[in-house]
Amino acid sequence: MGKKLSSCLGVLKMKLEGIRPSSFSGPPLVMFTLSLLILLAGVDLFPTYHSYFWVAWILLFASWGISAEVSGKTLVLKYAFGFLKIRISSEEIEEILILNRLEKGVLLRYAPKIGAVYAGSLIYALYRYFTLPEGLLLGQYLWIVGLIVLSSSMILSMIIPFRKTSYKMFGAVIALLIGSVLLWFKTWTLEWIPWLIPISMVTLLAVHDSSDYIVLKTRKGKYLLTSNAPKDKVENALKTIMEVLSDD
Amino acid sequence: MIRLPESMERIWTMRAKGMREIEIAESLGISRQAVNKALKEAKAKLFEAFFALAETFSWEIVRVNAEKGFMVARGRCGNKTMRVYAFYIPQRGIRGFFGEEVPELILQHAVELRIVKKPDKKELIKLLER
Repeated sequence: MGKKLSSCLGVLKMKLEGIRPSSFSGPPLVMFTLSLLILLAGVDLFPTYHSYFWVAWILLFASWGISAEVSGKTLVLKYAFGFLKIRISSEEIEEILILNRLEKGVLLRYAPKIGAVYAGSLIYALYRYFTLPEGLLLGQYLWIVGLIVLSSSMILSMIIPFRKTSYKMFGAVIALLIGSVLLWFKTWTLEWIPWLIPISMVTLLAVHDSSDYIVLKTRKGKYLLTSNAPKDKVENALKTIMEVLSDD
Repeated sequence: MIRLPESMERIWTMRAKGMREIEIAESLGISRQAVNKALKEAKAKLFEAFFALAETFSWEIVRVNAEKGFMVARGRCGNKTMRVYAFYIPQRGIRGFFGEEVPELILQHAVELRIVKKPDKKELIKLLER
């Protein structure tokens, strides 16, 4: 009877309000990494040729998840402006957890690949910093030091438990101080001080993460959903996912 | 209290202990498809049981693992908000505890299902919370 009714009504679709799939694994991570590589390599290899810049931004935006919805017993994660859909059958899911509610939950454990991307960009930025000669334009140092500060702060933020927000902020401040020293050693002036304000703002905003992280663990891998929505919206989305996972 | 059907529970327990589907099928003399179907149904039933338990007591779910059969939640105990841990134990159903007072039965069960390597209460809580 139930089956007949559902086949008459078609497959039930429901959008998970306020939930966005993250680009921490699979094709979206590849797009994110490519965009970063194009930006980094482009600055070095084609400093006067800027059309690569748009490709990088398009890839970056495409890597962001736009929405998640439930279609019957399947969870559909939409990326690349809605053109890329990742389907997870409820039967594949073995665990659901809300990462920021765990006492010792750290993002790196559940998204190690994005940690490796940040580590790669930090190593690259450090290499560029130490090979850059003195006496160049200020912007060239700011770009590299900004990358050092941001990637090291992100790595620290990924290895510190969610509940220790003050430790994360402290780590970002230390990274900013080290960044200032690095700038001083290359320029021997203080003309970069005004530029420290936007770098600090971007870094602190990136580190001060109040999002909810929902992890879906399957045998094939882990999927991460994020939300900045109010608590009741997150709870509603969780309830919808739970209904999908439950036995009929 | 929820209990998985006997044959389904046997298959789920073997899988939770680390056996592969093909090994379970061979040892029980059934097809691999039958094992796979039983495991899918067992997982759905366990998810449903843990979600229903959390809803009944107004607990806030932190994690539910249907592969090893456990749940971590936040709930009220008197005036305090505490951690609640619940495990599905074969032949007994769901058993739980508040805070870090891990009962021996659950500790032993966690060792059998290879959630922890040795019967260490602190280690078990640490593993559930990371």
